[in-house]
Amino acid sequence: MGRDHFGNLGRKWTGVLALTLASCLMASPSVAQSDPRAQMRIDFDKAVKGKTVAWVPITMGTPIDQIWTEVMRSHFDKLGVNFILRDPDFDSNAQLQAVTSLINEKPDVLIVQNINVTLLARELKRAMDNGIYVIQVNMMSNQPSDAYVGVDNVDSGRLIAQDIVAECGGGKSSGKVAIVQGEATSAGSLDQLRGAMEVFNADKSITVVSTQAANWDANKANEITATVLRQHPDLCATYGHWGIMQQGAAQAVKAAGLQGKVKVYASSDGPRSDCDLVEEGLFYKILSYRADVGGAQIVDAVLTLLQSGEKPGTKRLTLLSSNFWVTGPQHRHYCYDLSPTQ
Amino acid sequence: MMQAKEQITAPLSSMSRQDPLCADAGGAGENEQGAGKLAGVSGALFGRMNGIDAAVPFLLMCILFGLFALAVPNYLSVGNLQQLMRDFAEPSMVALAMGIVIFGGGIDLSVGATFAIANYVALYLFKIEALPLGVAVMGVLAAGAVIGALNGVLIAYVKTRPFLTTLAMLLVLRAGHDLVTLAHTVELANAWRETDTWNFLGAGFVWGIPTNMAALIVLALALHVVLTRMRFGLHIMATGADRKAARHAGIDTRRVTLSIYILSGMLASLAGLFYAARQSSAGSDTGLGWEVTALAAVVLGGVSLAGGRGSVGRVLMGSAILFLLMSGLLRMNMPGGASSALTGFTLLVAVAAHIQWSRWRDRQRAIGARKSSSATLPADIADEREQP
Amino acid sequence: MGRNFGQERVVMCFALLLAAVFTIAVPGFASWDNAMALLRSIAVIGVLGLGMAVVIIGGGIDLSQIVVALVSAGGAALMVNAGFDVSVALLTGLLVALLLGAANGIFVACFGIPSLFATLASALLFMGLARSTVMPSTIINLPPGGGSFLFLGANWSGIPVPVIVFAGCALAVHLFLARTVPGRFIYALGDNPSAAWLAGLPVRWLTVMTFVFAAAIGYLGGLVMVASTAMVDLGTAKSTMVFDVILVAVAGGVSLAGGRGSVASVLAGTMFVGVLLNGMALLDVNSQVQTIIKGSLLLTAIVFDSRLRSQDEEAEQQGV
Repeated sequence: MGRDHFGNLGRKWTGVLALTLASCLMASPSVAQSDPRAQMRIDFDKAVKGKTVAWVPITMGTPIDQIWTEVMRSHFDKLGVNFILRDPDFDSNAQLQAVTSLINEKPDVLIVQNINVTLLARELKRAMDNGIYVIQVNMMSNQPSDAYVGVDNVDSGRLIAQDIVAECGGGKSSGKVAIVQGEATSAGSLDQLRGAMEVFNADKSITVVSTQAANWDANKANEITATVLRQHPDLCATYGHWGIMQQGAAQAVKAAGLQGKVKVYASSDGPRSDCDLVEEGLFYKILSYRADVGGAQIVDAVLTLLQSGEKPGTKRLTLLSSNFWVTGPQHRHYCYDLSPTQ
Repeated sequence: MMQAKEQITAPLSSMSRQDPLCADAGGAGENEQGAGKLAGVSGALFGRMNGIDAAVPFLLMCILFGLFALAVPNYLSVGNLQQLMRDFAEPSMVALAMGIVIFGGGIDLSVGATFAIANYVALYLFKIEALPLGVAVMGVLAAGAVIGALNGVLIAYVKTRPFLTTLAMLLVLRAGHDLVTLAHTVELANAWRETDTWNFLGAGFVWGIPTNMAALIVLALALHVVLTRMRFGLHIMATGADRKAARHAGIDTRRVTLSIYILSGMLASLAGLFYAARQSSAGSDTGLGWEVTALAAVVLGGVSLAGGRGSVGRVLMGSAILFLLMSGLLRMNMPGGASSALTGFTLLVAVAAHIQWSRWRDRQRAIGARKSSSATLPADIADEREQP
Repeated sequence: MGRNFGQERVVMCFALLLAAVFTIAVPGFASWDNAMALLRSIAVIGVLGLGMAVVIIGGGIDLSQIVVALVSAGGAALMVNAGFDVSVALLTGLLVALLLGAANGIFVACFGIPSLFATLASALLFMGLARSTVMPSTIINLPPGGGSFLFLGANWSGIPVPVIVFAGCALAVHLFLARTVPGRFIYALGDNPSAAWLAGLPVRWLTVMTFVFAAAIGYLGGLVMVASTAMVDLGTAKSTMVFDVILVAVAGGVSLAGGRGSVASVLAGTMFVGVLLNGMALLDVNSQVQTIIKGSLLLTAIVFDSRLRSQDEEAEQQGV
């Protein structure tokens, strides 16, 4: 054991010590530029985990709202987001009360599906003024907000109308078309009607004989269509603003013995029953915007807004859903199935 | 043949009512016009909600408030209380409209539809036609008065039945409402006019109380004064209690009846005005089912559906019970089905409890009365008369 | 029952008059196809009206009838979807309806709750219970191909099955009310409950029976509705359909005071509404305008009726 030995040992241990210190420093967050992947997760969790997201649909009783909620919940649970749900059960008064009281609870993000275009306009502005991000889904109000996720309803109207004109116009048939609206003051109906009438008004061979509103109720759609068919037995096509509602109309066409002669169109969110009806021949064609994909888009919007660092109400994001025609069994994958518990 | 039967039974019942020792028992029997058919009418269809003390609805209201104050976070914050008051005002005005008519011995099933039409008229006049607010208000109240007058003339002068008449009116008005809103959807959706007064009506405060609630308080006080201190109000109660007797006493029952329907129409349309200022929305479900809620509010407050009894306070308490229940459940994250079931269940339990309790109390009093006189109906028969 | 006969006749005459006018003025009205379409359109309201009439004759009213119809028919649909045999499913639905009807009857008869309020609250309760347990969805689709369930919505040698159901119900209710002892007792109950009680009639049982009956018939109406659209849409319960049903029964002559009316009343009211709506549809009248005209004409019928009646109106005015 001479000084040399100690020296060598000392150098060795110093080296080990230095290496250990260095690796400790590397692992600590403050020097994290060296591990961006870990930092990504840390930053993400800081922005998203533990945040509160509040969701107010029109009702929890329909497949479209159920699939959105299912998809949202499955993602938010895994990401550690606190997910609150209020169910107005198709009552506009209840939806307004729910949104108003939620704003007072100050969630981080508020997601709404507007029952009509004016009801929540004032409240949504108040939410954004109070530092809450607002996402509008599927049907907008007159108040623009941080994000809109959903289909372009005007475009859906145009697409379906164009197909109807191709099938019914130019003297191929009587040219008579009936439109079955949902809730007339909702964005879903106002915008689809606008897009469709744009196309129909431009074609002289098409006459729109009815634009009755069935208020999203399949039984009412059934009644209305039965009446229209009695008035116009030579109807060429009927276009419904929502697949589930239009199922009632399709059955009325069948009951009148006109299945196959009257073409039944619908804008659909893609529930399995709508695809089934296409395959059974009750629907002629539906345009599906795939609400299951839409659910994931809503989650994306939430994550984007939470990480954006922007003040609510300053920027606007639009995540448009795409439309897909469903004409037969080859398009089954454009429809979704709910979990067995639904 | 029916006539003869009524004439036989009517004098008997009026005799029994005049006799203080009869099984009146402070609650039973004062609404009976004839032991026969009308006991059937009131008994089966509307029941006899006699002598239910105001304490019970008040207690129920406090219990509900306390429960939700505990269960819902931030319930007692100023912001939430103000919001509750704002949401409470319009359904309560509609309940008052229903209440006035019921006090007068009728029923008005068209209050919800009148409210919806008034809402639309307010929006149309103010937003689309851009008329000054004062004119719009006049227009709205006029609409309500006209509808009420239609009901009133048919019921009072043409002598149709209130239930049926207002029911047919409900259907006509709802269809009319759907028609006009459909015709103007785009304009309604795009109309964006606001003035300071309009915003004050919809979103403003009066000494910390929301405007529409303040209006409700003023209205309720005024109605209370009219009903209890002014001759017109007493005439209403008299007509409701016993139409024939009121007529014989010199009250012009037809004019009173016409007035209560006009009043009801105007109250409902006032509610529509505030609603328009607050929500600016006219959809297919505006006011849908509000007549049912108003009826439930009146019954919960312990007001007799046969007429002639009750007070503004009771109607408001009943409305509060219903409102607290429904809005509290909404704030508790409960799915729509559960809150509907709980509301229905609470309504049934509340009213069943009232009735069972007042039956028990009547029976006790009848037993007491029987002990002091032999000229009364046996207590169990007096009790059984309540049965449908 | 004597005085009431006038109203049924008046309304039926109104209906026939309208039909005559339409036959002349509206091409296409007087044909077999149109007659069938007419009958099919009013079949559901007619069936429900029959059930409602029984309750009203017994002195009550049932605001929960649509809810009971949809919930019980929905139960049957759920069973079909779950793979049970159609007859088992239909039976389960019937049991559900009978149970709900009995509940209504108990609320009114045993707890003494006025039927207007009791059925208003029970509608909320029943729908809420259904939605929070077995039917979270307001939409229940029958399986593709639907199975034999759907025969109720189809045609049978040219006659729509809903019409056959309506005719069958009308016959059954008529026999019940006019020919059986409980039927007569229901009239007595509605006419004068105190006298009925004093005469020894089992008033509580009778009341429960009227509500159970209304529920069972409502169930049939619900099944026809479901078969016509191949789905259950619980959202219909929020509409004003129940008021339409009441109006059809009462306009035809069933008195809300109880003890008066018959199947003929419901038939008269239903035919009147059916002819009116059908004619207006052929005339291309807007659906809402149709309702306005219907309501106004019914008001007229009511006015007419009150003019024809005796003038002891104070008695009749009270609360009704």
